Amino acid sequence: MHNVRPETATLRQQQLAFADAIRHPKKHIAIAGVAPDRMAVYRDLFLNNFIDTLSSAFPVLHKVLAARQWQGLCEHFFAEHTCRTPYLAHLPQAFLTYLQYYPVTDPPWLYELAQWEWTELDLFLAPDVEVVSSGDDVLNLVPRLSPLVRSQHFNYAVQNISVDYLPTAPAPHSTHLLAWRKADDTIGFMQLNTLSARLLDLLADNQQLTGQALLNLVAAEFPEMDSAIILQGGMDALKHFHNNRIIFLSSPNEVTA
Amino acid sequence: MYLTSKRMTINIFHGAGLGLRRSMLSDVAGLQHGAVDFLEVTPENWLQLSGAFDRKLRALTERYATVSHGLSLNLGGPAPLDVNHIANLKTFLDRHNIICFSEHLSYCADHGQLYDLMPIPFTDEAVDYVARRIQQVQDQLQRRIAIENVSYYAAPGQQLSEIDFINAVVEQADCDVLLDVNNVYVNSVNHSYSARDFIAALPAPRVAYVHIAGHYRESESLIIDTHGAAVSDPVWTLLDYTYQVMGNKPTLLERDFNLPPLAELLQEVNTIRCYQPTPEPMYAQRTA
Repeated sequence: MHNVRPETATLRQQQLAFADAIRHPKKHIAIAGVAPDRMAVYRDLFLNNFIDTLSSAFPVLHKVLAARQWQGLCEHFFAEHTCRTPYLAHLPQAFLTYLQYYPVTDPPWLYELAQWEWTELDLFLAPDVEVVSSGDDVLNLVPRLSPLVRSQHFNYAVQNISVDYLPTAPAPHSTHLLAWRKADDTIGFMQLNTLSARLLDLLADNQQLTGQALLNLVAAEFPEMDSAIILQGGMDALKHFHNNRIIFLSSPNEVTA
Repeated sequence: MYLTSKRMTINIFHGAGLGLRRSMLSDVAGLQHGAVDFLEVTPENWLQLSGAFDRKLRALTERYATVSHGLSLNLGGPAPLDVNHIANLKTFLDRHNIICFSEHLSYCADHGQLYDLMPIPFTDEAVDYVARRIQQVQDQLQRRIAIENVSYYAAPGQQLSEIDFINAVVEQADCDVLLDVNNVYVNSVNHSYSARDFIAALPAPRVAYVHIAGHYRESESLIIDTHGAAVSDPVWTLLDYTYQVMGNKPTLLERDFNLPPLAELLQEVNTIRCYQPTPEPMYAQRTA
């Protein structure tokens, strides 16, 4: 493409070369009739729009990384990305995908933190879903996870990362975080203990088991613990999830696999 | 929604409008009736949001005449038009009773979206190419669209003047024009031409509405179109000249960055009204 003489270049070649010059300033692509300082104006406008968008989508990541590393990541993403969505709000998701293709090992929690920060925007953008419960009997109905819930395990306590807490090794136990969109469209966050984390994992795949059956499974998995406590605590957790629209309850005979 | 003939568009919105941004949503919802005559929304900034936002927007578009200004159609771009996006757009325009849809005479993507405006080379080849794509969009949306003169900082591969390029595209595509007066001013400084001659050479009957905004003066010979400041004096003067040449046109204030309190923007909306001549029935009709 860059070997084409300007006077014979097709429109397509001209346009791709111009975009290339914006994406890759270090290649010093000369565009006929365009002064380098004007090319730099384009470069700055376009790149800054990307940096602003990503910085507001990943505010903690932006804050805790050294300015040069954040700038470098944004620049490389800007140069290489092929995201075609017409919606700028989806660009942060493309950045997350980019981080999977070009993994960063220092800091080791970079991807997990980005994933956690994306969760909030993901829920904010998720389409509305009407979920209706057939009652409030959390034990005898079939609890299922609302589509407006994200439940994730992390090796690092990503929710605590800040300029004052920059872990260098994974936490001894994985961190299970729950995020959900509330009725007023704000996003709620919750850290789960081992038992409720296990319950959430079972709920995520649940098609037909009643609340009671799920709690029995959890109790069986933790034989060293008092099953009465597990069942009581589990029932309270299910009620809490139901009140917060994290789960909805279907009648067992309505449910099809 | 608007009446079109081969040569003329008769606007059914009028007066002075404001570009709605998400952060203004509740403030604008609380405005007294008549504070602004119409609103403009960017579909790409609302299409993917949750139902609550859509309902709030709907409450406004039911109350106000609303036009729409697209960002990501990539009208002049090398990649095929995104027909799925155009279908979403059509749904949005219908749902919100959008009176007029406009897009930039520009391109914003290569093999990926770059979300900003790149200059289409001012060549005959580009005229044919862009006009065909505008027609494709008009066919799919089943409505005429208006294309906006964009601010540009470089003219790669230039063979035609900007005004000849725009007029040729508009003629060939049989589309309308969204005249951005601030962009004319910015370009006239950045490329040393007469802003008045440019405006006088546009086909006035095709100008569906007018944009006005603030910019940032970087140097004697370079202005950046930021939409981040109040409208400058020379741009007000140029707006006044536009009305002298074209008669009254619906005019919208755009502000994207450094957003001041709404009251301050409404003062600028009022300034637009002060410049607007008495509406001539030929160009501006009140909705029933």
